[in-house]
Amino acid sequence: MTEVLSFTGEHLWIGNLGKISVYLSFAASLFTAFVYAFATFNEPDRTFWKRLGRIGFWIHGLAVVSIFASLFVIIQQHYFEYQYAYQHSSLELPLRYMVSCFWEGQEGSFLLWMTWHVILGWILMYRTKEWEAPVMMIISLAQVMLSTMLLGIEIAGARIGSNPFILLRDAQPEIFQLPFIQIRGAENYLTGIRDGNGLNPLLQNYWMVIHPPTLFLGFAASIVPFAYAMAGLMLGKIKEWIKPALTWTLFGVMVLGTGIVMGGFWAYESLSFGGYWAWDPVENASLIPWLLLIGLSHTLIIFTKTGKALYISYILAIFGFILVLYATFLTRSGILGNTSVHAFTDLGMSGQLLLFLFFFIALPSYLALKGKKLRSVFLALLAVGTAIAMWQGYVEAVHIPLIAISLGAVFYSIYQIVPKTSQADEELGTREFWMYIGALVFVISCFQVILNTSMPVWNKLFDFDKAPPVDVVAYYNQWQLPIALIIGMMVGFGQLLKYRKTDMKKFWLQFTIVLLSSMGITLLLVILFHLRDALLVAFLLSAVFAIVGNSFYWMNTLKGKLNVAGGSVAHIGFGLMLVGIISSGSGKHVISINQSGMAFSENFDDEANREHVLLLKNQPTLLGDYEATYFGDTTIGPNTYYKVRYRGFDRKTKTYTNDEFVLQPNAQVNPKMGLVSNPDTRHYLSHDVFTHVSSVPDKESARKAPYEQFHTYEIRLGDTIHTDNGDAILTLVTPSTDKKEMGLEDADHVLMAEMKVEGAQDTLYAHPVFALQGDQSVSIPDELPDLGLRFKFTDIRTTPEDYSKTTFVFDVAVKPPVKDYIILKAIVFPYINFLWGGTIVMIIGFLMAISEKLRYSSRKNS
Amino acid sequence: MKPRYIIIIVLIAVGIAAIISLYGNASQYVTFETAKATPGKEFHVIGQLVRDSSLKYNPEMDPNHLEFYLKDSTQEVRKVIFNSPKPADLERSEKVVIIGKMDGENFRASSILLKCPSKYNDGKLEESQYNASES
Repeated sequence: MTEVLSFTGEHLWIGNLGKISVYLSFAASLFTAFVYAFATFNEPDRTFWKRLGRIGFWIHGLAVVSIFASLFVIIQQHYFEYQYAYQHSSLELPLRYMVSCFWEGQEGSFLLWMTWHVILGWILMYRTKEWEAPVMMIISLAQVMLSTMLLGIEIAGARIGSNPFILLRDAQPEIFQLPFIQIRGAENYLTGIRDGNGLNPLLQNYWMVIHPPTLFLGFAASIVPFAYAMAGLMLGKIKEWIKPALTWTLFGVMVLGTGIVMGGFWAYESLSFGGYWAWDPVENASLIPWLLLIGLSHTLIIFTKTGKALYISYILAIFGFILVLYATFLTRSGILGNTSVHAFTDLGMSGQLLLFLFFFIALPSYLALKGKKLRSVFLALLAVGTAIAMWQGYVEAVHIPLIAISLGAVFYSIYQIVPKTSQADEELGTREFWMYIGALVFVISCFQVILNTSMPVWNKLFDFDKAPPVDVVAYYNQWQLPIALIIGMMVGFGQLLKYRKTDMKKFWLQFTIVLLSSMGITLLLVILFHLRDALLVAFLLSAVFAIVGNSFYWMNTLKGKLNVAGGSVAHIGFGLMLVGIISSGSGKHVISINQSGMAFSENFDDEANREHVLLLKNQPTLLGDYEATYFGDTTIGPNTYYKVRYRGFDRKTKTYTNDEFVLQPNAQVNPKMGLVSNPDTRHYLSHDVFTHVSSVPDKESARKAPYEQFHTYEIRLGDTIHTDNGDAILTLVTPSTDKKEMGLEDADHVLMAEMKVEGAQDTLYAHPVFALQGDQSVSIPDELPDLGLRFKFTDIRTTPEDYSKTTFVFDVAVKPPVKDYIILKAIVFPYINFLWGGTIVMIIGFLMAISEKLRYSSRKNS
Repeated sequence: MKPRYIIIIVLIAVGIAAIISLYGNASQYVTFETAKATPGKEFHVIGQLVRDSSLKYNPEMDPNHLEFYLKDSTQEVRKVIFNSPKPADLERSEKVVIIGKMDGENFRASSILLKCPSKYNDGKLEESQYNASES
């Protein structure tokens, strides 16, 4: 690259503003963390330090807002001199998707997470009262971690973070070698960078605008119970942190759950794998903390009601946050490489992520350990572990001692501070016992998901070369379905029990009523869903049991009151979700089973799946209870929509039903990603018809293909030319009147022929033209590109007075016709609305529970 | 025995069961030769698409039948049969992971993972997965 001092057309001020904001946000978060630490541990000067801390956090927060705004301006104004805008956006990108550019890149994801922390921090700062200093200290520490991810500076050869404001010419100096840049001269390079790379088409979807922020708010919320737990340790208030942490945990569970289901809905609506959940590592990464947070919310409730389950509450609050960090490590360090469909690449931050992960695992142990001696031993052990882990020429297994020390320390240090009287009660006839067991079942569920998702981690640590199970989905389901079954049962009868002591006679009576009515409902549903599998029937019974048990409790014990029913409503929603998972999962069936092809393909084998069907244009094909016809396509922007008409067809009576609709699955033949296919789904109350295009012929290049065969024919009116692509009849030859239009105004005679061609699907006409101008002749050929035919009218053998006796000469060119078809897959999902409806009911339940807790605490305060 | 100890024992037992189950169910990255030694068992094979005219996909005859040749890390070339439409970016792929089993002299793939140069991630490889069936 030549030395150029200034480049034309760059907008450097905004990037500088962004960079300064990044540095400021980092410095301010570090400052705030220290100041709040002083406020926590220096009781006499607490007021002063707290005031300083608030100022620090306000500066930090405003800096984060400024980073967000700067990056948005760069994307919105199409400043392609910045790598981020070049990489993730383009000129044609509509405003509503610009915000999605944020989460296509990693830096934007971290920024989003930081922004939520700032907003949560602002709320916590003014609402936590005596907890402010320690809670804000933990949040500021998390902000230190996140802001280093955006620093993008090099210290001693190691790059720390990745800055979103890096210039394209710094990130990719090789652009100056490009010929079209060299022509312009390096200083004018921007005139050559006209458009950005564009946003991944899969993210150009409105669910993708709201799903990531929701998910990240859930992630961000997981820090609050962690921060309260740490605050309890720092202030020596071992039990008091639970009550304020509970409301936030419920909030976190609700938001994260909503985010996960939104992701599932996005996958269902716009990905072509045909489902809402694929046990993909990235999906699992959001599920893992959620499962633990559900467990946590229950143990916190046990504690507030009975003063028990303190140890597990601590452990779950700590690991709820740690697992968010671990999930981030999995998805952002590039370690998943081989196993994920989502492509997340390494920005060289895995070391940094690991460092923070270990920091936040070690922090609770350090705070919980009592006495200087124990703390020193712990730090020494950590140092030894770290030294081994940093050992040169190492294998990854050297990390094991460090992992063992830091995890072991958490379990031990918390154990020694928790009063032994707070252990979970061992009375089987109490609600708290079963809630406790339920929380543990969630822990097991979480453990199994972590274990499998971490396969690449085990491969690295133990130097294995294991691949994921061949059928990942079936493998997960085999574990998680029985777990869900157990949970459904416990959700059903748990509410019938009472805290501390239950009247068992009454319980068994209610249990019997609930069980019998559940069995009745289940029987009806089994018939409705056509369930055959015994395990699925048991699973359905447990889900119905959960719904009936909670409805019964709500109506019978709570007398249908709304203000205390949050838990029951959330449980009913959860049960409905399980019903939806069973009905849509077990009854899901592919209706696009291909029956043709059997006779043609030499090695056609009966066992093979034939789940894709070829629909020739305008040729109706039976798919399940529908007759499907592909009848045309339209191209809007980069997408081609393939119109498929579905008509309900009763196979028994062989008659059409009144059910008729058109689905338009689209496909984008994207130069960057190949075929990007978006499904289209017809929603009914009882079922969905899901349809996507899995392959389309390349019509454009077939139209442009050169002609292969050429023949000359001498024919008269009414004669037929036989070609490979159909028969052409010369129906008419007339003198043309619009000479001018053809640019033949000087010609003496202009003749237009009409060729009628019977194609496979429709009849087409070609109109080649022949003109005489003195003794010169001109031919304007006419083409039927879809039929692969071109007609050139080249001569006439006699005088052009009596056409009926004249012989006309045509050159006919032939090539393979352009085929118009789509290959389609269609799936019916029965009763999937239970899943979406159940989710909404569950969210409402959580909202009710949260407002219940808020009302309770404000009443207590007033 | 107190319920607490029973709970702890059950927890540990289930945890160990999960670990053993994963170890037992994990597949392996192998070569065609190893896959052939245990016919009927499913493996992951990593290789490269053989780029000549041997790729066969004729949707009008059978939209669910794709054949191509794959060269594994030991340079052994085998025919791969995949009962699904041709992934649009197959020809662009730099690396192909096929999951399935040997069937006589051919490999029958139930899923294909493609690694293609990604335009959205700046030259890095991007993965996409294709499955032959839902079940």
